[in-house]
Amino acid sequence: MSDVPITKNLTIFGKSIPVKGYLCAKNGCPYQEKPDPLKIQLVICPTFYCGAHCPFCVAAGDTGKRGHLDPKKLERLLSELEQQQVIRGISITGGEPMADIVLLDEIIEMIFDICGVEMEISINTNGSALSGLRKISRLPFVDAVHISRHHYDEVKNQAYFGIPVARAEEIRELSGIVKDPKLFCFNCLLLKDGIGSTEEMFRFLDFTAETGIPKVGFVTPMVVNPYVEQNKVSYEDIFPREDPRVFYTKEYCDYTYCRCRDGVYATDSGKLVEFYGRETMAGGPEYARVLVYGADDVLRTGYGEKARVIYE
Amino acid sequence: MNEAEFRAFVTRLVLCGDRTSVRNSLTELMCLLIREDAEDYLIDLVKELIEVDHEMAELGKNLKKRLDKNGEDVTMEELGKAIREGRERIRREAAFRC
Repeated sequence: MSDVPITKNLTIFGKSIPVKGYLCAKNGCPYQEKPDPLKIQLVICPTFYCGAHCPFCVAAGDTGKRGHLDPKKLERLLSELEQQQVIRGISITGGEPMADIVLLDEIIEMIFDICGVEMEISINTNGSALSGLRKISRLPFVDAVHISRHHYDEVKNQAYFGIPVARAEEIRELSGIVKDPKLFCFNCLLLKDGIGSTEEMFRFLDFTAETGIPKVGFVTPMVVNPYVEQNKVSYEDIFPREDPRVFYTKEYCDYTYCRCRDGVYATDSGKLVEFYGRETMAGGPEYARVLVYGADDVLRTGYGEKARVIYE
Repeated sequence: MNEAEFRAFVTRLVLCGDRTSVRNSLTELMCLLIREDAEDYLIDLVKELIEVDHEMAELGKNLKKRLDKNGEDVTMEELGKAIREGRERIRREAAFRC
């Protein structure tokens, strides 16, 4: 073990929070100490409501609750955090954040007003209300929109969600009207009954290129229930070696917690699609990797029962 | 990823489509290599193109132009600056991801 610290302490609302003190090991190189000033990712869940019934979801069976966060309370929180200069980027997730597009627009507006347009914002959506993106007034300043898409086949993809989600034509149309089509990224869970082999992965990448989406994340699902345990596929097992269609650019390792690998794929017609694989192992670290502000208006040091409440 | 694999990938791109689409995809690859902090591969890419034929050598040189919004050729110093900016972007992404 090197002398690179595992954790450093970040003081937020007068509370000392242990956070990750190192940078992930890149391409097999040693870990490095995270430079100061320390910052952390903030996750905002405008609502816990989703509407979909994905069998691999950590919140499966518990996504029907309506209700949303209080914008006034979020405004106070963001102002405090901005004053403390501890946030490096914000992910807006859920639940389904686009279920209430007016609220989402208000939140994004608020973030940019308080933190400046340099703040990196990403949105994670299941795609069931994707057309609402047109109503996000500051969409050009948003860094990324991650659309969950688990199969290239429309019927199979929709079967995972259990509700209607955006079809390829709608996504293609949207990527054609936004100023920066690189805004979009597909998030695809690797499953034996879906995209679970190298050939299926290639078909998904071809579909992605045809749809006009520049990037895909192939994610090994976390084991949250027996369905996932039986169906999960590790990206390491299907990412091909020595295939001229694929070029890997870098990989990261974070001890036994997670790992990822980036690459680029070339279709037969020479279109490029960036992709990455990611796997998060069970039993995460003791320190906070993110701060989570939920629809219950409470700020915690992550997800799950171990998370500490630091603001309410 | 080793040199032979990278060469196979670039060769495949060069063989895909007409010259315009090859130029577009290689330009895009170059931007990606800068952003991904893959400086060695970027240099390999230009070398590789110069070895293919004279026309491709021109393409290799033109790839650098993409870095300049005015379409003028850029110096290696400017290329280095873009790479450094790319690295900064990578650091942000790594921090964002982890």
